[in-house]
Amino acid sequence: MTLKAKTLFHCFKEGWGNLARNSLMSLASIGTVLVSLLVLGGVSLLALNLNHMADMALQSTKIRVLLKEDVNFDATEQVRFWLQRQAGVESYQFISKQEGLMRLEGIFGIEEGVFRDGDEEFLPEEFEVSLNSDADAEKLVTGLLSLSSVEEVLYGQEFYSQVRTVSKIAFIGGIIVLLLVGFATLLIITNTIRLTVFARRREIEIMSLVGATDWYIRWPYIFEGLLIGIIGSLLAALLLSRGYYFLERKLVNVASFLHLVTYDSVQLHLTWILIGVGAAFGLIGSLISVKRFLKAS
Amino acid sequence: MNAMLRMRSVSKVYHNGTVALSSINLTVDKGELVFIVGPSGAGKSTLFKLVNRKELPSSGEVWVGRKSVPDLKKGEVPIFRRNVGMIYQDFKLLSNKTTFENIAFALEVVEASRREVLRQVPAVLELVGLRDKGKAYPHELSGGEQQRVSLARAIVNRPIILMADEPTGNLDPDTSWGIMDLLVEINRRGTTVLMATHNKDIVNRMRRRVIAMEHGKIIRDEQRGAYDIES
Repeated sequence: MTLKAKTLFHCFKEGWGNLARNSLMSLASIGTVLVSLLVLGGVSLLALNLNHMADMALQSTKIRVLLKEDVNFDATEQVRFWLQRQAGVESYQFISKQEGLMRLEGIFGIEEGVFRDGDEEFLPEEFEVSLNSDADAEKLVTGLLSLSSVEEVLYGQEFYSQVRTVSKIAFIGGIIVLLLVGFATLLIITNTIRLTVFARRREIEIMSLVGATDWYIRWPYIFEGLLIGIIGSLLAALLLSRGYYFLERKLVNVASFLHLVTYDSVQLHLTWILIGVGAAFGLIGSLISVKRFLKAS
Repeated sequence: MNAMLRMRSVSKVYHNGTVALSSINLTVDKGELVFIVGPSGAGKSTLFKLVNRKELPSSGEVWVGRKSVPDLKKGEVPIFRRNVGMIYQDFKLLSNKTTFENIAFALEVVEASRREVLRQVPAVLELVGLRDKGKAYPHELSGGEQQRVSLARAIVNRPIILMADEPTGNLDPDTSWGIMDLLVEINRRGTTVLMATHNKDIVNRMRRRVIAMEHGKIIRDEQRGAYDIES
């Protein structure tokens, strides 16, 4: 399977030549890769944005860390010390039992005689934590819950988990659509390369006759598949970037309360993922073709 | 032992049940030039296919030099084929490549250096008498010239054995003799040559070893033989 650099270049050139020679089918293949990857990219961006919105919502509310009953000073200090070390924590405030009661009185009023002396003993001590924009809220909550003196952590769990669920469903749905479109993509790539193999069967026969190795014969078709995948993925990355940029600008005007992920922050990762998936489509498609049709020819 | 090709009790039955070869025993020594004659369907082409490992025998042994052909591993087949040159009646040239490129192709696919290509191709073109036709495409050449290109391609990798399957089938008598002279020259330089042919004139005038086949069997094997049985 080892090939000299010169041979590899020759095979690449042949692969490119195949692509140009069979231009209509090549375009169809590139088109289906493009559609598949637009689905993948679009769904990823949607899921990313939903997660981002959930995080933003969490950051704008304060997290209440309720301590266990009868915790001593050292245990309270343990939580304080832990919070101090967290990069995502913007600020925190310790609220004693008395302060807790005063807050309740502030909310419900004292004139009605709702609260009595000694009620503060039933209230837990707590920390009120504000997060900054770098915070990973979920990780922080898990960390807090692992501390022995923490009883409960209150935050917008319900809303947060709902948004996360929607995001998960969107992502899974997208993956299912992707699998279906992906299957069609593989089918078209396989057929495109099959046509090339058919058109060049005489050449393949002669190559095999004069002693070309199987891999020497296969490489041009593998390159052809890879090129289809990579060209399709680059087009998808370009379209997504332009489309998202346009959408971002529109939404800033009409729905400024929506905090969208900036495309710059995900562009690099997304582009590489798209190229990787596109190349994998091309590679798998060409390998299927080469395995099935090259042998036959 | 000077055997270049040995076949022992070789049979070939195709999937559809056709018996192409039946109990073939054959030894061809290094440096021999052998004619294989017989009607169409006698098994001549199948015999060649077993030698260059296009097909596997249903039973029996096929040896080329010290290699047992059916036992070659998949990865060894291409290397083995570089030692077995083939030419056909229909030349099998690539129409989009020039004469030079068609021959160079055989060297390129075995990953020869450019230096080797530039050295070997003109040398074989000279040998087959097509020194001035390097830039011509197959359709610009006569049938005889195309067969010469095909021959040049078959020998450029210096095979130890050359098999010609009806090489003069599409050529007029004079041109056929031109090809035959070349095969004799290649044989004189040490390559073992097997030629399947229907060309009576050539076989009768050459007076070399003749193997006659019919219904997948060898019915005659004689030194300095003729196309038909001589009474």
